[in-house]
Amino acid sequence: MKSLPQTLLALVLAAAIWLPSMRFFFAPSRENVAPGHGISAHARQLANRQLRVWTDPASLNREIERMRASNAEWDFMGRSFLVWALAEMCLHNPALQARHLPVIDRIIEETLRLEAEHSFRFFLLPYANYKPFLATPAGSHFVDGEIALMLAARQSIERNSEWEPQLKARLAHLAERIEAAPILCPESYPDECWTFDQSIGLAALVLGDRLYGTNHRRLFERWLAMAKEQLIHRETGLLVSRFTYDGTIIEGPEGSSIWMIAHCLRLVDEEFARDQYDRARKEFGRVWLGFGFAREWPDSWQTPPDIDSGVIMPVLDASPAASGLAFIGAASFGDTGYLEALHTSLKFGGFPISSGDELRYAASNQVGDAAMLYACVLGPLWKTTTKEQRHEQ
Amino acid sequence: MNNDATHRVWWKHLSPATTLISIAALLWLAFAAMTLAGWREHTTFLSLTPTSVDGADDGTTLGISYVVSYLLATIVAPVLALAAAIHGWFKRLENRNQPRPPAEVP
Repeated sequence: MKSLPQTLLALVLAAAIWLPSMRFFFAPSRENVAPGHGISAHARQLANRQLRVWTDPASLNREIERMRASNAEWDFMGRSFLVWALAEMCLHNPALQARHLPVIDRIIEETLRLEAEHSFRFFLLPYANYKPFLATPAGSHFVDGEIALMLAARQSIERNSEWEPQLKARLAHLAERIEAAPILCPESYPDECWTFDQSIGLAALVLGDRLYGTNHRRLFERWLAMAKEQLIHRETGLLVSRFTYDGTIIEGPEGSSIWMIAHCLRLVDEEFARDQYDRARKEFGRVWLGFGFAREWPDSWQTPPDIDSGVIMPVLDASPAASGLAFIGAASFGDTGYLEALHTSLKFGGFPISSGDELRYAASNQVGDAAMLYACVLGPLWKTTTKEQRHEQ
Repeated sequence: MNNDATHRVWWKHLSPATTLISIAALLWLAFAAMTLAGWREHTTFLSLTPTSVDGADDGTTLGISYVVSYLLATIVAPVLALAAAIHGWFKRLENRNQPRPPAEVP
């Protein structure tokens, strides 16, 4: 009866060999994670798929309908992330402008048309209609901020006279609404403000200042002072994710918000943004056996999963949304070790599907793939802007 | 017709190493079959996105089955295959250490 103990011992030894070695079979290529490599093959394949979807009406309708069936916000954010990513790619390699600019323009055109036809509510979850917005006229900082950043990114590649008045008007509207809000934070939903959207709005204003020579520095300083005083979660030192129009906190820090917040705040206050990233990395970022992921909530703030967090993986507490957006944080702050671990997980659990020179992730959707693409190519726009800011100072 | 005797003994003849490698092979085969059937598409349930919006979407069940099969094929099956190799190595060591019968004197 020696066989059973021998088999069990063999199984334990095999697990001890295989589990720590698994990551080597899913490791990303160096160019995906090392900074300064420009556009990786991985990013090119992701972009090819996205560009094909946006130039094939049948594929586009299918993708958008699938996302809108779950969340209308994803339809909108898929557009935003793709425009920002394509703009960054053009700045990496100006030769791509001929192919990317027409798609960027088409996405913006189509988005503005839908907003004009159906109002900003077209891109919001149904609860936007359950009660009135407190600010008048009603508007969503989520929609305004992302459209402004799309237009500003597009104009940063090449100034187009058609978009000029649109961008200027949107930036003026943003600044006006921020000034009018009780704590400098306009609503995204009725009596509901998201730090994610506030940070994108601020980033758009910074890019606007760079394009048109305007100056919102005083506004940024006041916003930062307010945020440090009213929007910081005491236990973690992180910015909270959701609060009411008058600044009452609804939801503490969350992984699906903080990475993008830290990335955008780099344009406003690099040091504060870095501190937020480091804290987020400690609270949400995890690497286990070489596989990286992010949690949705810190230990000191727990709420049930929702449409933003996605399906939370038991035991590890990994959130697909927080992990996806963690790519943006890690790439923005040059955290190559964590980025490599995240890519390893993506290759393992993202269920990639390659077809010709195109790549997509079956476990994801268009907005997830577009955010991933943005994480792979972000850099030049923020780098140029912060460099100019330092030069001015 | 009585097959009881056959049923009782057929698997007992398999060595532990063969059993382990057979289970691993079955897990790999099941995963290959699901991949060929296109079930990978249904893992989109992980992002709470339906595979299609035509109302006849049974994607979540297929997606969950695919994810479970994938985890078995990538985590469990290699452990079983490695364990089979280690077990075989134990057996060789055991055989080597067993006392040999005395050589026959002609």
